[in-house]
Amino acid sequence: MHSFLSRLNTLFAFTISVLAVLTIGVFISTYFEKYHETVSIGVNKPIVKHMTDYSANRKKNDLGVLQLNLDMNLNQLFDWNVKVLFLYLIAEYVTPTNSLNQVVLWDKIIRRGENARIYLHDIATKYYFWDDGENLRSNNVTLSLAWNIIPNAGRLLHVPANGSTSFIFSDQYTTSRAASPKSSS
Amino acid sequence: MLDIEWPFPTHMDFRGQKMAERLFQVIIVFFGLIGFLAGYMMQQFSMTIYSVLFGVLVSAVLTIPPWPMYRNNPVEWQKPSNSTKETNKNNASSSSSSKSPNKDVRKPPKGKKDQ
Amino acid sequence: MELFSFVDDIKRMDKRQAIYQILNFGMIISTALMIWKGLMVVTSSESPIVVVLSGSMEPAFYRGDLLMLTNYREEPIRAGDIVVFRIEGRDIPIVHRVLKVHERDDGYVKFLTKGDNNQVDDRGLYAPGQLWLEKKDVIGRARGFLPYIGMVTIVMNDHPQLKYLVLAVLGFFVLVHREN
Repeated sequence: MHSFLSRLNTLFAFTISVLAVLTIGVFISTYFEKYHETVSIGVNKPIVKHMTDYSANRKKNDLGVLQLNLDMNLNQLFDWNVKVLFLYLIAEYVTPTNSLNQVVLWDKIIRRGENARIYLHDIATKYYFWDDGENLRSNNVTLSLAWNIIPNAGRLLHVPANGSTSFIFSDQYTTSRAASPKSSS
Repeated sequence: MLDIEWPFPTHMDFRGQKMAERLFQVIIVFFGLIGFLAGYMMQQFSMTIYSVLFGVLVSAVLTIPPWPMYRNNPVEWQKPSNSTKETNKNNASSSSSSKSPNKDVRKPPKGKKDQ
Repeated sequence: MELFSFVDDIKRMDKRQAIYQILNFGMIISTALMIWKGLMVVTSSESPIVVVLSGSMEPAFYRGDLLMLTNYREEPIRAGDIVVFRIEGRDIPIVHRVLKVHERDDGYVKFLTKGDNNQVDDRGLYAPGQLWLEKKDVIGRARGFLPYIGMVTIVMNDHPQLKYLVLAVLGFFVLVHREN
């Protein structure tokens, strides 16, 4: 602390230390938070098509098509250590070839400050529901929502929501031009 | 370690340096605590950061420039004697950033006791 | 008044002092290395801390943010996880999110990833003919997050001369500085 440069250096270093301590404080203050919330998921008109998957192995695979209803209010989740919420809807099912399949059908980014109320009705899935094979007919699929908490500093948590739903695909292929997902893969 | 001649005055005496360092530490910690509480109340971490940055600004204005209050205890040099005692000259130059501005010069100024 | 008074310090150094300085330097280097290796063991990941290099995961991660990874075998890859992976034959690690997972009875897993800020999935990024990622491509899953700390790495990657300059200056000062 003798010269001008020393004073500047010490001030800067002290500031950084204080910021670090405060960041640790924020982290500790939200460490035990669970971020649970209840949501409502609905499915309309689940059908299965049999088509060539040009985005993957160029073979004929099963393509599931359905419409979603999503209803939730997540404003309570935004405490002072939550920067972004990444919501994702997973379709989980079992096939004879694969003991576990998970496909994300829909996702959304909610930043702090944005409205975290979601009310969507009869929307198409955001991503194509391709199976790795041809085993969607009559398959029992569970839809569950989860969110990834992106903090200001700390752990990246994946929290499953309360309120999942299941449905069973029809046992026949549909060949008509029924509803298809709106965007490209 | 580096002695640069700045175009503006930068000198503070030792008591002043100690006072300045203590002052900015108190100010920044104070604004840090206020910011932490405010941020917690409002659940907005940005409030905490702004509070600390404001504290840094206030501190910088108060402690970086050599205000007169930091020059109230100038080092009292002994009168130069005839022999080549160069020790006083060496002590006038800035040494490395050791955090004890209390460390007195080798020839203690007369009648000054640091508490 | 000289500008660099430590040049005197160097001249005053005898052989013992010089050896002490070098050993001190070696201690610092090996401590850093041991901490890194220790983290590798604790997290089971070959790169326990990574810096986000691209903007493909905005607004969650920006360039310069720091991620802490784990790669435990008992924790399977699931949809929604943020994984850091390397495409076979390429150096650069990529931080993206898992979009699809297909796991077989024998334990073989394949998955597809996509960056939050990208419109399409990562099949365009994979090696020619590669449709899926496998466990072996994964460096780890992002578990912890610190903002901005990795900015230094970004700046030094963009300006390699700066990296060498900083290393040279730091090394020089560690070797020369004396704790009086």
